Amino acid sequence: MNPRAVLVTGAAGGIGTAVVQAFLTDGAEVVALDLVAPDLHGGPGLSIAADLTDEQAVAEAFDAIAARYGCLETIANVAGINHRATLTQMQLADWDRMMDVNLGGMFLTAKYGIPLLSRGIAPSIVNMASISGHVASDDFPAYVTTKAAIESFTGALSQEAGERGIRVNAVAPGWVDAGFTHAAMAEGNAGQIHEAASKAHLLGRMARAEEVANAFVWLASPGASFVTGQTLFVDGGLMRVH
Amino acid sequence: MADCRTIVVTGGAGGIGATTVAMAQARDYRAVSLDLRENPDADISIVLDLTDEGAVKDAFDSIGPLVGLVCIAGTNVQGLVTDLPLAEWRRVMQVNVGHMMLALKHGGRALTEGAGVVLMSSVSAHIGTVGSVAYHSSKGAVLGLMRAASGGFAPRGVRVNAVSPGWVDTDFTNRALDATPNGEAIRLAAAAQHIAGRMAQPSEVAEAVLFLLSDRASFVTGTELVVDGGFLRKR
Repeated sequence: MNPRAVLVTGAAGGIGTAVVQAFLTDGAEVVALDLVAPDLHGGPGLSIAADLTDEQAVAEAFDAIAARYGCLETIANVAGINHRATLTQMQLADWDRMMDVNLGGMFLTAKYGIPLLSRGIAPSIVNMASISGHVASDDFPAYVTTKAAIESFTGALSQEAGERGIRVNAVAPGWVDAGFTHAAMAEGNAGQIHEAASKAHLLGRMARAEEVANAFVWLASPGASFVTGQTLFVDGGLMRVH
Repeated sequence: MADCRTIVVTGGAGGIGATTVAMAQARDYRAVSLDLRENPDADISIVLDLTDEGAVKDAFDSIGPLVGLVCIAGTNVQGLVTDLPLAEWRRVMQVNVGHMMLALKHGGRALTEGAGVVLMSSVSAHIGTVGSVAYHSSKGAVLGLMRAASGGFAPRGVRVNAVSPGWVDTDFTNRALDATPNGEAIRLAAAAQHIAGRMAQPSEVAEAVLFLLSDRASFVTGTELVVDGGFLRKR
């Protein structure tokens, strides 16, 4: 029997690392992909350095996956970037790059990954969305736009991929104690951010990266066999706070 | 028995409910069924009318600490807005929504830190079909109750979520279809309404319930998990 192979993009980041570890704990082999070849944390799998905006590089990554495994069970699209700029001050090149990485990367992994997923046993794709797709964030309009688009993309892809037996879902976290939030805290206002997070979430805190990773693993699991085209909010009730 | 991981399932003798009880037991929960009918396989089966506040209170008083509350009990009635008797409307609201309020009211205190509550809504909360006005309304109300309750229980570390299935292959579905003039045609069309090309099995809904109850969903609260095989996306 073939090992269960799971591709994780953005695997070197804070949440990506937790997603890699969660799938390894769940017994999968992980293809960890990022701009710089990610750590596999001692688990079985494959580490690939690739730029998700480079179609040729993505195609080659899937060639490597095909050569190693011949099929793919799950694609966890975690890769994403952020850019701080109001719309009136934003450079078009920065806007285009946000679209290319956050949305185009998912398009390319689907384009090249669906043939491999079609040979999986209970295949699915899980995309990283965000509560930012639903609530405004003044300094990050490009991020907000890409994250809303990811849910529309997830819905559209769930139809096309569904015809080939592939489920497609999204995970929408609130604030996560990793990645972008860590970067913001590193700028020196960690206390304020924790204070704001405690007010923003019903549960009084931000998420741990592994809590977001658990949602990826569940949506990819056989237990979620009737869940497709959906977004699972892992936001500690943030969307309910007003 | 405070060290037991006890959960309560309302509607625990029905299609989704009995499956939830059985799958919970397989994961080392102690499952209590509250239903009009007995579930002989539950660890405790309490037969009661869930719209009777005294009976609901007595039931929860007899059970003890809970790590989970799952409200599944529901009913359906056919009728257009223009000819549905008020009593029928009220009965659907009392069974489908009112019993959840009573369960939260009298069972809420028993929920321990980290416990989960799951309320059964439906894709019916998001669409409208002619002749099921009370059912659609009640399932929308369940989402409102879920959102409201999630805030009230959060300070105690109790999470409150909803699961919304599409068509599920149960006796409840079959009874509703039998009561509809063109039920057989609807049954045949139902499979094609899902991206998955079929109705859900009760176990697929119960899996979502058990995920939301578990520690794996420790940051999931105030939200709706749709388990519809792509039904809403396909429309």
